[in-house]
Amino acid sequence: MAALALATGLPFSAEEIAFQAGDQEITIQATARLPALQLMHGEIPEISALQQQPVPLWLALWLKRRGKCRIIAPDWLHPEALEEKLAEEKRSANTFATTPYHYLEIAYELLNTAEDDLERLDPNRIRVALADLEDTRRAKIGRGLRTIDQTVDHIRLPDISATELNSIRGHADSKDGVSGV
Amino acid sequence: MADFDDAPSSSTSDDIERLRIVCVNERFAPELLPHEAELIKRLQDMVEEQEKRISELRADQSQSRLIYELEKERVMYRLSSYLKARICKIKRLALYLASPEGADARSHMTDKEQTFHNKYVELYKEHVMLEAWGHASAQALPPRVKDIASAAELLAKPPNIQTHVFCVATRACDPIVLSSGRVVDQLARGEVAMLPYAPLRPLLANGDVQLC
Repeated sequence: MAALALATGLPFSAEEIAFQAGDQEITIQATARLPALQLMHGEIPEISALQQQPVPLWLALWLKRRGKCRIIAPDWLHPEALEEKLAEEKRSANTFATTPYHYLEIAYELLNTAEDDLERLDPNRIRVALADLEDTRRAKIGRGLRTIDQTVDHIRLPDISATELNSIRGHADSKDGVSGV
Repeated sequence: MADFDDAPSSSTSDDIERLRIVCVNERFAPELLPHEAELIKRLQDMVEEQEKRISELRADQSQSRLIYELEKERVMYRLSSYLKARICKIKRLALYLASPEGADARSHMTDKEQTFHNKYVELYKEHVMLEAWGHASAQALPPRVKDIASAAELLAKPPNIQTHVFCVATRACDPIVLSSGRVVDQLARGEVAMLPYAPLRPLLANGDVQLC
């Protein structure tokens, strides 16, 4: 089995997934004027105080830690939206509700680094809804994996998220063992 | 669903995004993919250009400097991940790549990778085979035992291209026929699926799917 586990790359570490989520765009509101930036990623125009601008998450978090911006919570992170998503998730036993690919990483980064910007939205209500959503989806994945045997040679996973996908990588490898390839 | 930008331009941000894709593809593809020489060269030039920009910043622009450095490190981290993923694979497939069957895959290596590979195989053989078996008579041992002891079998195997991988469709893909004869209906843009690697090869090469 050890050899089979090497057949493809190792799963990502939590840090690697968080790194990847860093490329996602998020809207910030500058607390004071921010000069224009010539990033390799592309140019970010000058942002005047209180003006909003989408930037990569890694930059938003860097600025936030230095008190240079507020982070505007994406609509899907609002507790009402998460609770609605959770209800949708529970209505369907076999399919996932649509969430951003990096929803967990972005949500936890913002709860950890920018909790004060989520104050108005009730961060604890966000945490509860997020944990319920995560659990409901994880249970769905677990049920799905139990139905896999050697007769299954492909699985469609619309709307699975990055962390969820990474959590089942080991199963893809053991599947190769089962089918005896 | 994952987001994809349809804009067909080739700006610097496209190269940064492309690096993300080739990095993940290389990590999860069982075989050694063709080296992305042009992309890597462009990115190295971009990093150099950015270093020049950083060196020209004034003393009062320390915030921009720190941000530029951080972004540069992110790009260089990905570049090194890409190169490391390839070297890992070259080591894992070392004896296969040195064999006649590995000729095609061998052509996917850069000159530097080939130098690494040649020396690695040489050292490996010298160390494991000659040291252990070369000068001793191993006639008394059954060949099977000798084989396992040398552990060469594993490195000599071709990559298992039937292994399952996760992929995401970057545009609506035509149905995929698996070796079992089963047909996977069209994948929608942004849809993730777990499939055997072999039938995905052409789709991966033309960018219809990315590994994830």
